[in-house]
Order: sequence, then structure tokens, then C-alpha cells
Amino acid sequence: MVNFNTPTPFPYTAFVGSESPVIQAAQFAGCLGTRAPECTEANFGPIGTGPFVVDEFRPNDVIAFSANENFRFPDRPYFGTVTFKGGGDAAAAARAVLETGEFDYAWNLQIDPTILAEMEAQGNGTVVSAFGTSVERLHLNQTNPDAALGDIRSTAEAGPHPFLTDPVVGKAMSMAIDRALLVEIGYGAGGQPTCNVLPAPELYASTANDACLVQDIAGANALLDKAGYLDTDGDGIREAGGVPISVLYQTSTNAVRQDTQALVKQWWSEIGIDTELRNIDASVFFGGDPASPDTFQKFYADIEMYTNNFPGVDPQAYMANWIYDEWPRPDTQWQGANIQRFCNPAYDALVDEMAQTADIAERGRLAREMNDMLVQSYSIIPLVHRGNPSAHANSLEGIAMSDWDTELWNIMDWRRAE
Amino acid sequence: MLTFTIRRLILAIPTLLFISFIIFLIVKLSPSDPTAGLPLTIPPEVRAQIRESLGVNDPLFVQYFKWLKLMVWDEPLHLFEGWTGWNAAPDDGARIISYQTRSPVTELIAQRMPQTLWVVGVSYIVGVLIALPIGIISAYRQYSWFDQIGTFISMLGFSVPTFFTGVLLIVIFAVNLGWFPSVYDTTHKVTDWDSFIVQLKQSIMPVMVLGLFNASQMSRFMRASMLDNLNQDYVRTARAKGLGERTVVLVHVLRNSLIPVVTVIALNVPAIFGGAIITEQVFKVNGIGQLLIIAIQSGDIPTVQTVSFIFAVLIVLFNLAADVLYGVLDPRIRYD
Amino acid sequence: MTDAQGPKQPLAASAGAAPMVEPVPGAPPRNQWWSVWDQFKTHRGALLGLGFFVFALLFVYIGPLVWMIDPQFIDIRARNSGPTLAHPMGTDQLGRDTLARMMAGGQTSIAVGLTAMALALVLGTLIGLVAGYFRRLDGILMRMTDLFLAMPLLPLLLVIIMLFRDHLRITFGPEGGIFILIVFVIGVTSWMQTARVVRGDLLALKEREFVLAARSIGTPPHLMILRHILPNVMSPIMVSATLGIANAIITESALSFLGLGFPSDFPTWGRLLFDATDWLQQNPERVIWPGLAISLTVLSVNYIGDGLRDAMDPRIRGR
Repeated sequence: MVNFNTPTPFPYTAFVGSESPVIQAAQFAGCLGTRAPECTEANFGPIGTGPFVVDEFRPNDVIAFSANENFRFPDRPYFGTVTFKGGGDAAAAARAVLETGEFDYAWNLQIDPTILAEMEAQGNGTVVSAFGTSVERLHLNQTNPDAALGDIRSTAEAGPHPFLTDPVVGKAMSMAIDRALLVEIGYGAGGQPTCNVLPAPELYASTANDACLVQDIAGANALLDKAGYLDTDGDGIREAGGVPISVLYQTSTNAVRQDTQALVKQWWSEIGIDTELRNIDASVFFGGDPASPDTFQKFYADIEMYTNNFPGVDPQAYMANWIYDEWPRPDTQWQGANIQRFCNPAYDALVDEMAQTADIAERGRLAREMNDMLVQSYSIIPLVHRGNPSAHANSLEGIAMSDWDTELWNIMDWRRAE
Repeated sequence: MLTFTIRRLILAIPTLLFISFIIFLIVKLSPSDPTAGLPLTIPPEVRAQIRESLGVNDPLFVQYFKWLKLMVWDEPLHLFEGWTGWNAAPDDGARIISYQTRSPVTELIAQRMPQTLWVVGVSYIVGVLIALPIGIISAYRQYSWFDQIGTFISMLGFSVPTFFTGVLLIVIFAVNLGWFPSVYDTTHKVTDWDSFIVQLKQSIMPVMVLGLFNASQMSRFMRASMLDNLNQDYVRTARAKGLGERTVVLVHVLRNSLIPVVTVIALNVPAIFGGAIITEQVFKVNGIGQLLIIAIQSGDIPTVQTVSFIFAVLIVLFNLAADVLYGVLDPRIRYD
Repeated sequence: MTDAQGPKQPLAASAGAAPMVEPVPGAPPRNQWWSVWDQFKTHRGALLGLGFFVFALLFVYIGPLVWMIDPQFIDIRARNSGPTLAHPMGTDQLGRDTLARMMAGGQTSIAVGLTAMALALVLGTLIGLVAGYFRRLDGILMRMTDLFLAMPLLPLLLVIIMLFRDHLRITFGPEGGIFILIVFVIGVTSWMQTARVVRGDLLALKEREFVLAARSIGTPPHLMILRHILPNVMSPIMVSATLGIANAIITESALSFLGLGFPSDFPTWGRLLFDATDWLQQNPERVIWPGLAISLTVLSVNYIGDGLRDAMDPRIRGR
């Protein structure tokens, strides 16, 4: 029996995805409250209704499963045992499936597409990917991150950013980027160029911004010239109000992200914008420790890049990220999802409206309008709609990728090709 | 010597307490966070609750003393109970619990001990066994072709990092030749001759990579120290006495040359326990090195603290052992 | 015999003048370093090593004046190219010229390698000497060594970076600040082995007759260490120096991979090698260049060290 605590206009969460797992009440009965840490056995071997049961669990190393004798379909699953192996890096995982054939399936293969393609060309396996809502994007700090401001930098008290609050600068930066090339270099089959923060499902995907798909460096230069951002001292860098347009561009450490950074830096140098790159270990960047200056929420930089998405299929909570209350700031311990410090009362009103709207078509319209408002403020520059590349051995059949659920959702149908 | 050893052992207790506190401070200060690895879609309130439930927000000293009490009292009792079956441990369930897995840290360590000892330990023995003869011969025949090749290989072994040699070996022996597996199976159990061969095959590459790295370093120290001693007066005296060349080199010179080598060996034995992070990653051995690095990256303070503490104990013990060995090797050394 | 074990007369002289010069009656006074150089010249490996090292320095510092491609310039159409006329060492996955990157990377790697090694060496030797010689300081210094050995490196680095990066960046600029930080971090975390080795050797050395003799004529401790003890622990120090350079170059690449070092588009040899590892099967030459550069540099330093040690050893010199 599953009960909802409050009226929920969009109830399609329980039982329909990996976001709301159901655990057995009897097994976890003794594990509530303060006794939770004692239930290692229950945590490591939860009892459920799936096709496989856990035999052995070694955290961060191995999970061994065997077929569930009491599974609801008597002839499934086809495999007797399944073994997960952790550790190592993505290239090694791809190699074990595509080159040596030691394993049948590998997921999350974020490696250079050229390498992945050459491994695939050896004919042992196939690369597949599914697209959910993940978008790799740039956030342009709307507040002033100048280190001279000390503790108030990147907060409302620091005042607006000297040039990134002007949509013209953001627009020129966006126009200078060749998204198709970013995909080709860094993502291959695991990415598509996008101009939207909200790229899927189809109902919510706007088409109003698709002009950004084509790189236009000359246009970007003309735009900046027209807006009066000129290179007055002849050093190749434009000035905004006498200050050179120079940005600190940070992201987490990851080979693909560092390649993207290098490319974007070069394109921006072609439109007279100077860029300093910084990469930060993911455990710090996404860690949210209020004492660290390097978290993505603190945003002590001009521009930062990472991927975000929303789970399930409804974007209401996701779009509510960009209301004013969501600004990360000292009195919320720097928690908050409005990373670029976007502020527009009209946007906040749309968020409220969506929360009270049940009609699906109307919800779609509101989501698209919010997406366009965000993207056209050029405080956020979407780059790549990311899929999740996986690889499976050619002898493995029955795989049906889905990014709306775990990719193993139909593992009961997986079988060995005859 | 005995009083010296006992005095040092007693002195080790405050030393270890101090070290463990410093480690705790550093891990605590470092900006990794236990919720960093969770999806961005988890709201901040939930994150705050997770941190709260882990005890991350307790005052520093409370956290440290909680850990210390568990480490020196409850965990040894559990260990004792596990060995003897005698119900010694308190039943309130207090254990050092990892933030990531919510399971006792000592169990995680025990799980990873076999592969770490097998791969890193064996590679260390292989390294020593290669290094000593190479160092001795290189020094004895200084600037011979053997010495030159040995020097070249050991420089290569030391300056080409394991992240590269590991991948190189995998590409050659796993991908192209298909002789050895590229993924180490930690669940494999040796029961008979065939399974032993399988075990041998899967560990040969990581063992060689690490062994070469260790051997390079030690053979250099061995060679340098032998060279220093080969020119000493006592060698001339020994030869003048009519002792065989074998005795002169392997007994007199070797014994006197071992001090720096013993130091390096003793320094690196605790590293066996610490694992070899990069090699473990390349070959997916998933030993203690990998446990530690993942724990560090996810801000798992109890795990980092416990592994580092055991590491510190080993370091203190082995450095003490080295000091005692100095006295055995050279009876003139006095500590009092 | 050659050391301070002889009769009283030469000893008294050796306390003031060069300590280990054979008494050569009638010869004009000659700077000790000239004879060191004379001996050094006869060591073929050392000369070769010195030659290569000078070549490497010229390559990385003079090279960019001749080969003027910007190491950060991306020529996307030429990506993953093998050696060609336009790119003699090929290009990387973004089409950056490998030759230019090898030169730029060498500047950083050699500078970091030498300075970090020097820092670790000075720290390690100093602590090892003091701990071995002064019994009262031994306990505390060796416990400090234990502490540093037991410290988990990664959290320590994260803390150091968090506390100091911004200050250094403001004071010394982005690159200078990070250079200082990296050299400091590597130096401070890799002196322990040298210290332990030097101390171990010294414990035995201290009980030897010539030390006793030198002490009995009242040689003050600092002269004792400088003149009589240091020359006798030179060989393990030289080995530590060679290993230290390799260690520093590799550690630097690990640091920048973790985002703790130079910006990601800033090439160094270690980083080039790391990035190229994934391309081992597609573009093997990409791995060879940095791998070779690091190994040969370390090898050349090793031979220079060998030659220096032989040249400075009075028992070998002049033989």
C-alpha cells in the first residue's frame, strides 16, 4: 500500500521509474530512525520483486546477482547470474566490452568519441545511447565575482556583473560557439547540439532558439561592435567601460570538459574575449561545502559549466530552479539552484502559474515560455543535450535503452544471441 | 636495545594520538562533501538531512573522540569476537560506520585485504628480489654493460608512471595477445591448481607493473650504497686477509650497505597496506588504495580516518623496526 | 687515511682548509672545484648526461623562438594527425601542435622538477642530518617524519589549495602563484624518504673513527656536519635527487589532473603523457614523445649525479 501525503497534480512517480524504489516493510522494520546504520545486511541485499536477487555485495567493487526463483514470469530472466564490476575508468570499461570481450555490458562511457568509435569498429560490441533531459550548459554569473569584494562576491550585495548582465555579451558568446563541433569532439553518439535548457520531452521542447545551432563569429563580432564593446587599446581584447572583457571559466575535472573549455576559449578569443580556465575536482565542485571557495554554488568565477537534468518526465520543479528565492547565498549556507543568479519577476509569476495548472497542453506552453525567457536572457547558454552512451557485446540481445528509467529496466528480457 | 624498543613503543601511543588528530583535522577541513556524489536533482533540504544523520555537523571534538573510542575499544573487541566467537563486543551496535555505504569500515577493509596483499604485497616481494641482485651486481661491476642497462631500465621504470605502463601492458597482453584478463576478479577463489593458474594470470600484469616500479627505486639505493662501501678500508683488509671475493662482497660489504636499503624497504612496507591507487584503478583490483581514494573523494571521514590510522600505526611500527635493524646491521649504532 | 684519521698535523690543517685534499707539497694552491671538474670530464656517462640536459634546456627555452606555433592554438581540421611537415610530432585530439606543446611543457616540467626536487632534497637532508647528529632532536624530528608519511595526501592538498590558492594568485599572478604552490606542495610532501635514508646512514657514520677523531679535536658541530659527514652521505642524496625529479614531474601531472595544478590547457610533459595514454592504440607516437623526454631527462640527471658523486669523492678523484 502506497499513500501520498499531499494532493499531487502529477502523481505518476511511484512504481513507474527508478526514482521511487519500493522497499519491503518487513525487511526494514527494524531499521527505522536511529537503528538505520545497523541494517547493513538489509541495505546490501534488499528484497524486491525484480528478476534477480543479490548474492554478494562488495561496495565499490562487485555485486553478484542470481536469478529470482519466485519471479512473476516463470521463464524469465534468461540469465542465471549477473555480475557487476566497479572501479577503473570509462576507457577501461569500454575496452573490457568492445576489445577484450571480458564483459557484456558497460555504461556511462564518457570517453573521446573517436576512441570509442575505433573500439567499436573491432566488431565485438555495439555502442548505444538514450537521451533524457541532461543538458551541458554554461552559467554566466549575473553578480560580481571580483575577488577584491571578499566575502560578498557573487551575492546580491556585490552588485551586478560588470558586463555579463548585458544579454548582448552573452548572445555574442553563444553565437561564437560551434555546438556541432563540441558534440563531434566530445560526445559523438552521446550528444546532440541544443539551444534549450529544457530539451525534452517533446511537449516541453521549444523551437524558438534554434538559430544558435549555427556558429557565427562574424555576427558575434558585429554585435559586440554595435553595442560599443570595442578593443580600444589594440591588445586583441575588447573593453567594457574601460575594463578588459576577461572571464574566469571553471568546471569540474573531466577530459571532455577540459577539451570543451579549450575550444570555447579559442572561439571567444576570436571575438575579443579573454578567458582563463580552471578545473576543480568533482568532489569539491559539486560538494557544496560552505567553507570551500570552489563549489559550483558559490560560483567565485564568471562562467561555469556542468550538466543538470530533471528526473522523471515533469519539469515543474526543475523550472522552479530559477526563481529569485533560489539564489545561493550565505544565509542559506550557499544552497540554492539558481546558480547564475537569474532574477526576473515575470519568470517567478510563470512558475507560480505552472504550479496551479493541471492541463497538460497549458503546462507545455508555460514550460516553453519559461525556457525561452531563460535562454534569451543569455544568463545561461545551453550547449549539448547529453545522452548516456553504453556498450554491449554483440552476443547480448534484448537491450532497450531508456533514459527515463534505469537502462537495466528490462534486464529480464536480455538474452544470449543464438 | 630492548629498553630502547619498549621506550619507543610507549612513546608511539601519544605520537599516534597526535597523528590521528592531525589527520582528522585535515580530512575535516578539506572541502569534499559526503553528498557530492549524489545527483544534483536531490534538493538541499534532503542533503542537509543526510549530513545531519551522518553526524557531519557534530562539533569537531565530539566527532573525533567518538571515532577514537570506537577505534581503540569497540572495533578491537569486534575483531576479537570475530576470531574467537566469544561474545565480547558490546551489543549496542556501535561501530565505525562509513558515510558512503552505511556499513562498518573494518568490514570494508577486511573485504579488500586479500587482493591488496596479494597484488601489492607480491609485487613488493618481487621488487625486492629483483632490486637487490641488480643493485649488487651493478655496483660490483660499475660501468659494465650490465650496469648501464640496469641503470637505463630502472630510470625508465621510475620515470614512466604506472598509469602508462599499466595501460601499455593491457593493450599488448590483454587486447592484442589475449593472454591475460584486463579486469581483476576479486571474487575468484583459489581452490585447486587450475584456479591458482587463473589467479596467477590475472595478477601477473599488476604485479609486474608495481614490481618494476619498486625495483627501480630500491636497486638505485642498493647500488649507491654498495659503491660507497666497496672503496672502504675494511674491504681491502678483508681481501688482504685472504677472504674469498664472495665472502667479502656478500657478507662484509652487503651487510654494511644495507642501512639505506633497509630504510627504504621499511618505509614502503606500510605502503603495501595503503595499496597502489593508480595500478589498482588501471587493473580494477579495487583494493585498499581504491577504497581510500573513493572515500576521500566522497568526504567519507570515518573511512579515510580509519584507513589512515591503521596506515600510521604501520608506519610507526616499521620505522621502529628499521631503527632496531640498524643496530643489528651495525652494532656500533647506539640509541641510549 | 685520506679522511681525518691520520696524525694530528694534517688534521689541524684540514679543520681550516679544504677538508679532503691530499696534501700535495709544492703544488700551487688550486681551487678544489677545478679538480672536481677534471674528474667529472673523465666520466663518459656524466658528460653525455650533461650534454643531453643542456640540449633539453635549449630545446624548451630556445625552441619556441624558432618553432613559433602557439601551443594552445587549436587547428581542429588537423586533429589527431601523425607526424607531418607542418606538425613534425603530430597533433592532439584538438589539433594542437605536439612539438610546440612539448617545448612549452618542458619549460614547466623541468622547472617544477628541479625546484621541487631541490626543495625536497634540502628539507630532507637538513632534517635527516639534524636528526641523526643531534640525538636530542632525533625523537621529535622522526615523529614529525612519521606524521608526514601517514598523512593522506589528497585531502592535505585540497586543504592547502583551498587556503592559499587565492592569496598566491593575487600576489604572484595566476601562473606564478600556482608554480609556487605546486613546488611547495610537492617539496613538502616528498622529503621524508631522503630524511630517513640520510639519518639511517648518519647513525652508522657517527660511530666511525674519523668522526670520533674530528670530535676529539673539538670540531664544532656545523663544521662536523658540513666537512666530515655530508660528503659521506652524498650518494643516497644523489639517488634521491634523481628519483625526486621524476617524482616531481609525474606528481605535477597528477595534480593538474585533479584540478589542483596549472590550468588544463597549460601543457606539461606529465600531462601530455597522461592525456596521450587513452590514445595509445590510435596515435602511439603521442605517448612516445613525452615519455621519452621525461625518461631521458631523469636519466641524464642520474648520470650527472653519478659523475658528480665520483668527482667529489677524494678516494676516487685523481686515481
